[in-house]
Amino acid sequence: MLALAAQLATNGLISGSLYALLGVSWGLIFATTKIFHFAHALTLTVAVYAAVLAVGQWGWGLPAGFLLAAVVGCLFGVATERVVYRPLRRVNATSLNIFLASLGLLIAGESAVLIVFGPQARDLPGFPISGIALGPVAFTTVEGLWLAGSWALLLLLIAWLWWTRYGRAIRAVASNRELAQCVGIDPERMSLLVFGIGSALVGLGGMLLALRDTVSPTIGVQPVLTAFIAVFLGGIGSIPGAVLGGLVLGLAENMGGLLLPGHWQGVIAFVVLFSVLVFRPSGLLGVRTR
Amino acid sequence: MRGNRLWVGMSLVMMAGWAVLAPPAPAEAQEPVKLGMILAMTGPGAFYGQVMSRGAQLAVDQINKAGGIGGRRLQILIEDHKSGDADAAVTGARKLLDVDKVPVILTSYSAPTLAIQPLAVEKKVLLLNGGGVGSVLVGKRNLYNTRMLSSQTAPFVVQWAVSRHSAKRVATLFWNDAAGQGVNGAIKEACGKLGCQVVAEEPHDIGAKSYSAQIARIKAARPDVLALGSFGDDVGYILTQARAYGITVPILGVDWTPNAQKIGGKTMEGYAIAVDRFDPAAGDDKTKAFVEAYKAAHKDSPEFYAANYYEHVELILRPLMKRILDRGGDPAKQGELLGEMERALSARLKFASVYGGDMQIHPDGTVSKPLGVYDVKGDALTLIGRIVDGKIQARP
Repeated sequence: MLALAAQLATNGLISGSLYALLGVSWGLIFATTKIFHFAHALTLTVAVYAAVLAVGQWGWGLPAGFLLAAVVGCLFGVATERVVYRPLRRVNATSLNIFLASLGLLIAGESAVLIVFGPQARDLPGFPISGIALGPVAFTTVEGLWLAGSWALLLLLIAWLWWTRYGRAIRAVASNRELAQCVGIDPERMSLLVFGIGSALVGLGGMLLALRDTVSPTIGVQPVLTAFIAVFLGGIGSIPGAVLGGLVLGLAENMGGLLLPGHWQGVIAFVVLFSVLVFRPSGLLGVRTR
Repeated sequence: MRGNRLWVGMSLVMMAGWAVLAPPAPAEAQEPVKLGMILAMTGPGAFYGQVMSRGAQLAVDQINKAGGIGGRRLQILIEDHKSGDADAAVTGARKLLDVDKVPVILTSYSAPTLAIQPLAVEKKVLLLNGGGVGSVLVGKRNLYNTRMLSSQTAPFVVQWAVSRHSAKRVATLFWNDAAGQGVNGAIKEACGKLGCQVVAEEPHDIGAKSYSAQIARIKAARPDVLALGSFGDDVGYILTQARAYGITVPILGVDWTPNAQKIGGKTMEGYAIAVDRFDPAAGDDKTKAFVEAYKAAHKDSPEFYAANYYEHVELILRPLMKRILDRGGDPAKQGELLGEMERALSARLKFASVYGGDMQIHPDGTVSKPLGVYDVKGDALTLIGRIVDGKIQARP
């Protein structure tokens, strides 16, 4: 039983770390712009497909594929903000209008990927997958990379947000857009910046995912839904909250395996979210607002 | 103006004359017989849809190239069940049955097949399944399976586990749908008869990709063998993750595909299956002709799913249609193919098979085909045991 608990906790930590990365990538955009960016899933898909094409067909190395995914994700996210969301804001579109536009973009984009690349799943070659055993627990080399890669990116982002001028400006806009504007911060510029950073991060998160899973036109939806849950669990507007939400989610899903069969993970995720939101509607680290 | 009227008048007279005197349209100009297919064209099982449709299309192309069946050409219409979505299957079936008026549907996967079966009964349409293996597909009106079902193959997985690996404790990991649950049920039943115990039962979503929680629970249950009721690419992912997580016991199952082999790589070594396997290298003339034609069309060896759907058209529907045409019926009419199939089975008619020899379709909708136990050596399956009279005879 102890060995099973240790293994499940390890699994939870690994998947929770990736959830945290995906949660932060979406939460950063949502906290700063208040846009429910559902098309984040499309950004992930486009970035990963670009990398799969480069690595699988053009023979690029895997590190170059990761770099490409970050760049393509960043450009796609920025383009979405400039071409779709900003014009809608200028005509005073409501949050619901913008959400529907985002959803429409996702559906149309996935269909376009399906038409261009076909329905067949593709894989991302070039990463040696083997097992790593540490006492009673074991995990794969890909999962080891998830853990290391996710935390490296999360710590880098948090350091940048806390200790740089632009990072502080983004946090200021996320905290109070009007007040930030009063002290000379351009919220539109910060919106563009968070779309770029969040989208690059989701591209990299998508690449970590693609090392284990096959890549299909719908690859982005499930991870981004998980990111939503992590953000709402941790507290909207809080970057540490999104990290904590991702970890709690991953651990809860996996530790549930002590009592329930493994395929109940999805149900456990929603039960945890529901329970937290009942007792703390603003999330684990969210700020209560009146 | 008068000249114009004269020309118009003459044209009308000529057209009327042509209509009266022209010979009747040749048989080839008749409406083609439409064959409906509901397959996994998108989603995690898109590979199946691709090879199944290729197999059926090859047979249709060959028949049409030779002038059709009694002059009637065939046409395939494909709808997508999105890798097991029963709602999508029903939507597709309604279009095929109500709009296209197909007399037959070639279907795949257990859940979509079950979902469309009542619609097929209502319209008197023949259903042929060459992919789904759920034991729930037995004894369903209008439905004939040309792949052996899990209730037929899974007991041999247990027999192999007990006889070869002296297994007392069996763990199962299976698709959380009718097909996977069918395998799990059949394994439990066989285990009960052969004196082993199922110590862990872990279902998973189709196309799940991550099995870490299930594998951790299975490892903690300390089984002697792990039996899979999973299919397609999932098998490759499971093998990779199970071995990486330190599961060293033999892993057995009921499905293997080249794609799963590609995904699983070296971890697939020793993975054994009990299956009615199509062998492209078999010596039968029908097999050779099919394999060569498939290779010429697709630059690849045919999968057994391609073989099953080729068989549907070439070796089941073709003779049935010929019988209908010979007695002056119309195979395109709903009810005709179904009626002919039922008559053929009452007469205990055997159908030829590209697996070699004949296949016997039974009135309960199951089929008997050559069955064997295979394991992975290198990157291919090797026959390690033949199944004769319900017993596995291991090859030396």
